[in-house]
Amino acid sequence: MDTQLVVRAQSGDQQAFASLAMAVGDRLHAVAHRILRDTDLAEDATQQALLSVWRDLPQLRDPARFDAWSYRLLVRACYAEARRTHRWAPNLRLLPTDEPMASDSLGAVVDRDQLERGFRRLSIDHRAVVVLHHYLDLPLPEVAEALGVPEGTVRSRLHHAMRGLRAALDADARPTAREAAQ
Amino acid sequence: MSTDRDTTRIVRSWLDEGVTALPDRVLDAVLDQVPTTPQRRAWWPARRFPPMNRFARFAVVAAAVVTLAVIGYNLLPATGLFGSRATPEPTPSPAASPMTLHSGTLTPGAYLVTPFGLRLGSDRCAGNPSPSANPAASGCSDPRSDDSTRITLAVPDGWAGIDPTAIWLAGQGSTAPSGAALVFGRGAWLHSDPCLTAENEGAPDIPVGPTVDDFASAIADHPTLDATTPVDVTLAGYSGKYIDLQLPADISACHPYFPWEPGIYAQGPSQRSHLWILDVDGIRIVVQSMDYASTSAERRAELQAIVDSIRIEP
Repeated sequence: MDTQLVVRAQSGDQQAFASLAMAVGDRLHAVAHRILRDTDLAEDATQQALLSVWRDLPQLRDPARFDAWSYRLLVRACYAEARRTHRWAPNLRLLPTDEPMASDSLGAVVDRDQLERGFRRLSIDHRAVVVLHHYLDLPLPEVAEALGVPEGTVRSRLHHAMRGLRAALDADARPTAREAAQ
Repeated sequence: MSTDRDTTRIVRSWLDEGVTALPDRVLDAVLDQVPTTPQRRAWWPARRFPPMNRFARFAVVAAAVVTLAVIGYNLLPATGLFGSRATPEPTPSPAASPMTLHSGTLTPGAYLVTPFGLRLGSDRCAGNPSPSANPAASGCSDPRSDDSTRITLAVPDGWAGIDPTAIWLAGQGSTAPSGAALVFGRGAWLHSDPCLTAENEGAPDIPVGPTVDDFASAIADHPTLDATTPVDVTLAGYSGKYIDLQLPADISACHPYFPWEPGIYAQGPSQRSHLWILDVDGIRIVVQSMDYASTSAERRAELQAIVDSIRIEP
């Protein structure tokens, strides 16, 4: 991130903030969408997070830490959105049914379905760790910094989350679906 | 049965799918709100200097020239071209020509602070609450107009300026467990729950009037603040109330812990604030020093000496 842009926005430069928002907006939205699993909620969370970035930027002491700081605000906004509304409608992407489907593709669809169910059972805390680590490729210490929790907590959450997702993948539905495809 | 590696691979692949682009309408909505969304008070506030006119520029340049001349003179050997001169005072006094407070480590001496010529704090009290703030919270008692109150103080070795408005320990700053700082404010509305979180980040909701007693009583009567009973005090020739405030030992869930706003949020757990709430010709000024139980006695004594050296020119 361009720290000069951050510094200018910190001092109230709205043009600089606009550039900053354009630079980070897609990434924040992608993270929010993966945490919340809902397009509308993700948009609301991203909007609130970007406004929080603007409003709280003067409090950021080290502009070089902008990315981690912005992720923290985003996760906080995701919490707020998740609590504000309980719209947890599935947001699955369905493959066309009239196209030939290889068994691997069918397996992938089943995996997605199981993952979606398993992921939705996780708390926002656990989802955030999974997304920051496995989607953004942030090392665990950086995840800890972004979430403002100890690294040990991050490891624990990640372990718990991945165990839950693995259990979801191993659920009974998968062999049943494969059997049906044969 | 999946292995851990399989699970990780599948999860990563699954996460890679899906939305990445933020719709323009969302970004537009954010940018539309920016002009009416004040930036939140910074502990070390963002500075917005008013444009200078020619006279002001000349005055600044002239002051700089005089300052350099004084420094140059003081650096001359005692038996130099200009003859002998008096040994410098070992203890700085604010009565001497003060330097303007600046960021960074300070050389010992007298400094001039004009804390209220800048906007210390957010404008959330000025009728522009943040989107999630209480819409009615628009009446903070912090005067919004700039003023030229001048405060001079004597700073010993080992202290640093923070912007032109406050000082803290050089290197250590104001953070726990042993930092220390001094800042000036006007007092303001209080948060009924100072522990601000994502769900509780509204504007301050306890109205506070403009007088010394209003602010002192509000702090003393606050249901969760651990404050001493206000006592009469005189500082720099102005009367007022003195209060000690002990902040909680665990503020880890607070983002941040903010007793009143505009003001200074907690710099660390178990921070102690010492408040001199003064009536300066009808205007309330709050002198706030901060330390911790682990701040050394020497540093605490220096901080108190700085407070005792304060002179105020309304």
